[in-house]
Amino acid sequence: MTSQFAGELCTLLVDDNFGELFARIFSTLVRYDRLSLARLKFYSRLSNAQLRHGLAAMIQQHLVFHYTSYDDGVTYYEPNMQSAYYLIRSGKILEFIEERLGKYAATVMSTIMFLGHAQVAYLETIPELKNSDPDVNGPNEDNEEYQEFGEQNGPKEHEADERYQEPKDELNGLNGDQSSIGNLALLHPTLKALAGHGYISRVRDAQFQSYADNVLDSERTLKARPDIKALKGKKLEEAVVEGTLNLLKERLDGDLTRGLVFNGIPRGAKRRHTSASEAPNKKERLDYAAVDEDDVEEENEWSDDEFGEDTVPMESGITVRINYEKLDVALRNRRFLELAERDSSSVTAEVYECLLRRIEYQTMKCRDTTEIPREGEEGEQYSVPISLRAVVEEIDPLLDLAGSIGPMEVSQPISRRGKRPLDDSMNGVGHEGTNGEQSEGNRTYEVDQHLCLLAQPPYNLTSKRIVSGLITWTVEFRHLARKLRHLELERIIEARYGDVALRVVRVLHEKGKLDEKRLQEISLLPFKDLRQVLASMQAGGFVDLQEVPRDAQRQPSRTIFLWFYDPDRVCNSILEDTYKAMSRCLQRLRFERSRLKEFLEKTERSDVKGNEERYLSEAELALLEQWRAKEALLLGEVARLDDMVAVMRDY
Amino acid sequence: MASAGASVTQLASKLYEHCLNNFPLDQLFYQQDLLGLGIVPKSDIALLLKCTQSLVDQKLFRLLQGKNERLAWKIISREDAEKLQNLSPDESLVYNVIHSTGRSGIWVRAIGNRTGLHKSILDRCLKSLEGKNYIKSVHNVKFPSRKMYMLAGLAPSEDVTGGAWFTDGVLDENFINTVAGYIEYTVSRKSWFEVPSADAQRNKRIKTSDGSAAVKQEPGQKSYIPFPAGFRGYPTVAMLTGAVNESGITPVRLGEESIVQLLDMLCYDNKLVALNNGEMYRSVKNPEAVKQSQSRKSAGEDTGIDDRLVTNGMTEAPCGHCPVFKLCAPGGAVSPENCEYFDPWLEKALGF
Amino acid sequence: MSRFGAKKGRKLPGAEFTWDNDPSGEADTAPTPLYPKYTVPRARALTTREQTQVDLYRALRERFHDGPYYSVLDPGSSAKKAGEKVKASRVHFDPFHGMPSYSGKYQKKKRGIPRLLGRPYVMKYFPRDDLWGVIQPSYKPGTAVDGYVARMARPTFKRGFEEDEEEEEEDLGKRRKTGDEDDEGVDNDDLLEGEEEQDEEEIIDDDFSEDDDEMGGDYNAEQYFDGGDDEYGDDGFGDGGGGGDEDTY
Repeated sequence: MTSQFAGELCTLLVDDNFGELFARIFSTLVRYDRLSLARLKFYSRLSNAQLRHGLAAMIQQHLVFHYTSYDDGVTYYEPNMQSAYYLIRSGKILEFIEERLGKYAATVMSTIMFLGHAQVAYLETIPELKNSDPDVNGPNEDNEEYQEFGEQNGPKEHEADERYQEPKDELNGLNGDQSSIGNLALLHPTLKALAGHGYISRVRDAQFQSYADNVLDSERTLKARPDIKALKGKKLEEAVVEGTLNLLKERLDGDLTRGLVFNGIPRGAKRRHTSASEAPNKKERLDYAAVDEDDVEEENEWSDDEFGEDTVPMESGITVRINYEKLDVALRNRRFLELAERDSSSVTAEVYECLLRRIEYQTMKCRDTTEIPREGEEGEQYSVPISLRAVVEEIDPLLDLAGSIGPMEVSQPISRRGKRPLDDSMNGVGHEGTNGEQSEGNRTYEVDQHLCLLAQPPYNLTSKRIVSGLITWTVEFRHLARKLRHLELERIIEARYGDVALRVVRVLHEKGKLDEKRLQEISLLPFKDLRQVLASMQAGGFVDLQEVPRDAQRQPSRTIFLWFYDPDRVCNSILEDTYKAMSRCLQRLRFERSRLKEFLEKTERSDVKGNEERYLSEAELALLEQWRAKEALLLGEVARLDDMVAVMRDY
Repeated sequence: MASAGASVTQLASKLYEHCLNNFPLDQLFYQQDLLGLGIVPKSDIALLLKCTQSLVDQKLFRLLQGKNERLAWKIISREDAEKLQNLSPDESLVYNVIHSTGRSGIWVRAIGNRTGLHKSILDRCLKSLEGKNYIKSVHNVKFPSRKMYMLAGLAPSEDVTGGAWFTDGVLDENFINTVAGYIEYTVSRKSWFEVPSADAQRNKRIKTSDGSAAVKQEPGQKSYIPFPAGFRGYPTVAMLTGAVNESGITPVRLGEESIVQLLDMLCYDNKLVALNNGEMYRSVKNPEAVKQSQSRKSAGEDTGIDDRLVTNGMTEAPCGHCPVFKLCAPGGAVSPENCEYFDPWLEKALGF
Repeated sequence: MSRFGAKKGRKLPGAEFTWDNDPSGEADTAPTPLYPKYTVPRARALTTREQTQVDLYRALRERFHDGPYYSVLDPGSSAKKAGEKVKASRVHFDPFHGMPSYSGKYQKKKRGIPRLLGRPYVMKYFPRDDLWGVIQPSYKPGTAVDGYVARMARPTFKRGFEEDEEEEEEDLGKRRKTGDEDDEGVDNDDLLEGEEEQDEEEIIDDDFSEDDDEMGGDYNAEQYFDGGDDEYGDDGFGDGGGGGDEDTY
């Protein structure tokens, strides 16, 4: 992430979010990489006050690494490209949290983003998080996605209301201050939920230093240890390499999930199936209880999903920050899910989502290596195995699993009109009825069937494992990440060079290096088309030609020309292009804003803002609407490009 | 001497009859093999050689060089022998060279090299042979510009024709597309279970995962669901070959290997998926979708990029295809500020 | 006629190799236009989810913009030469927009320097010599301002390989050294600090007030640089940035 275009992009993002001062400091650091305050002052031509306040604020926002040298005591500053880049992903992350844990959790997340990092004690004082105004949760009631909170606050839910009341009372006993409570009763459970999911982590000293500095530091620490000093030669090297990794892990580790995950489910996790159905809630609850009871047994006290049960507040001295690594895992799962949605029924996709969610709970990061390994040098990396039973539990008991897979034995499916035995029992009988009748074993079998469907080529989205006699399901992360990567490249190739090119590239990818004749035989394309498409792809850098001379003269007529496609190489250059395209969109956005500067400043006036209807004319309102749509499109486009970056760099 | 000559002729024809009756035409005989037949008395090698020479003269035997430079012979059928007997020595030489290359055919220049004949003589020989309908000129896909010959009675090998998908050495695109389209549709009909219409309604009630993926079926349309994993009813190569040959879309009978070629191509196109290493094939799209996309293609409509699944950030950003992307820099002659592509792009997407 | 890719409006793959299909439609000898004709792709409309994401991004960004850290560069502030006494504001005076107007008081005010006060910081996450002074203006190296800072006044990263005494020695030596070198910078920084504190204290009064305008009205970014840069701004870049903290030694 140190290329020219990545640097340009990160600077633009810093500028877009924090203004010119941060951007000036950031871009200077990007250009010179590592500077002391004095040098930074020289190169940035900023005043002391600007620099020192700016740097302090940027460290708070994790935009700058700092490292104080032991030798001369001088502090050096470096840009934190990764953090700066993640600014663009904030929208995605917040939307994800909102979907997963509700609107309040998203507010907590965005507050933490706003603060950079923050102590829990300070979060307690933030007005936004105390606000018991119904605005925070109100709109949720209309929205099925947010039913969770609707359930807790909405008047229609008697039972839930009572549950909600409970902790409030207990908290009262603790701090007695009525006014400060409001939604603060939600803060600690929400923080615990976020921590349990791994979406937030503890801030560690080492996180303020760049990775390279941390490695050097760890090595130095290690080499000073007497037991290491005693070693020599190769043994020493090995011990240092291994010890460094361990030490780094220990120093950077901000994991907060310990003690907050029970039976593979984090505290505060919600099952999506509380929502959306018309079924009476009572019954649904019964179903849950049944499921929970026989699985959880000893830890029954944690078995309830609601926040209410947990009254132990989060330790107020902990400093928390956003854990982007973990969020990448969650966002990557979303991409896997999209892959499933493309070719599978919505039911199968939902089953997959349940599996992925269980896997996400136990996956800390996307991969172990810092860089994505080269194609072919990458090992397999299976996720934790999730027992079939756990997946079944996760699935909405009302989901109709049977109706979306065909029968096993059909000689002539098209002409057959008769109903299958299963359908008979389903038809006429309502959902609830079927659900009640369905035996659990049957349901387990059906879930397994859906997962088997997903395991099929071309994507092999799941894979089955028998672990000590039990059926479990896993996901092969590296294979799927690679698949996503190839798909992105193939999309570009198809869009630029047509479906002919796509076929050629896929042939080359599978078969390796091929000469034109062999390529034609497999791709069944006329020579003329084939040559043109190869030549234009070569010009675009997507395929390459290797010359293998058959004699020393290297005459063209005595040379074999082999075409090949190297996805790694293509991926790297496309990644750079993507950064550049993102920058261009943001620069254009800035330009578009400057075109409307006067007008936009007017709309931002403190008297106008929020009262647009009153202060602005029809035409102005329309213009504002247009501007917002334009900005949304450009930002949306950047977000889509970021999806590609994520696939090519982070997953 | 005469009697000796006669006996050689007799012995030779006896030898020929025996070989013809007991061995296939392309059997290669070495001295040992012929002696072993027990026709030439006392394993008299000199006598055997006389006999074979006589047969070679009559064009009933063809002299060849076998392994380790040993002499070897092959028999020639009577009809062929008759043809050959009528040829001039030069023609015979040329014929033999062409014959030796079998179904691969041979390039004119190579004949010249091997026979050592002058070009004009060679041309005359070829003309005469072609006129007698003994040889024919063929078109080689790999070397379209070379003039090549093979025996008239032979069908050119796949190497020469490029397989069933070539007509006169040129890839027959229309033919390929017709057969490929037929195969895709056939496979798709066997890859999806058509939900009986009474059940179709129910699909609407299936909850979508995030609300964005709306229920795909519209009322009145057929709805399809996949078969379970392990389903054995997907079509095999043999089934598909049979179906194609019976369909009447192909004037020639296509072999399984030709169909496999096409199936592979369809897999590369992301239209089919091979299961169990190509034992069976499953289609990606259901029959309805296949029909739709095929009719669109044939109508040549440009639903364009919109309808494909291939869009991502890069393909739809104005920078994605930008011809001057490499030159673009803020403050440069080509820059994001004075870019002429953003405005139409915004307009296209937003409609204002 | 090729089936593949031969859609209307899109060129056949490789068509660019024939001269008649030159993308610019001009003769080979004509200068290449800056922006050759090209059919821009059509972007999909944003999905509901994407719209939500964009809105959340904008909401957070707006929060940053309204927050204490968002700062712009005043064009007059950084590029001035020493001895250039002309008031920057006069040079850059805009006769149309420079006059105070009624609507001006509602105009969004821009900060020149991030406001750090008004929230707690975990001091150990910041480099002490360079930045503690700005985060906690009451901080004086070595003195116990409050319990927390005093505790953190020691170097923060535990360097496992060093003995504690060594560490201390080294630190002291370092402080002395830098202190000597930075005599020149001391006054400068000290002065600046004083001003910052003043300004910031004023701002603190309306802490948590949603309305920025009053605060912004009092705040004049120019003053910083008039005070800082005009007189001392170019006092040589050699002064260790951290010098300001060492004045009490």
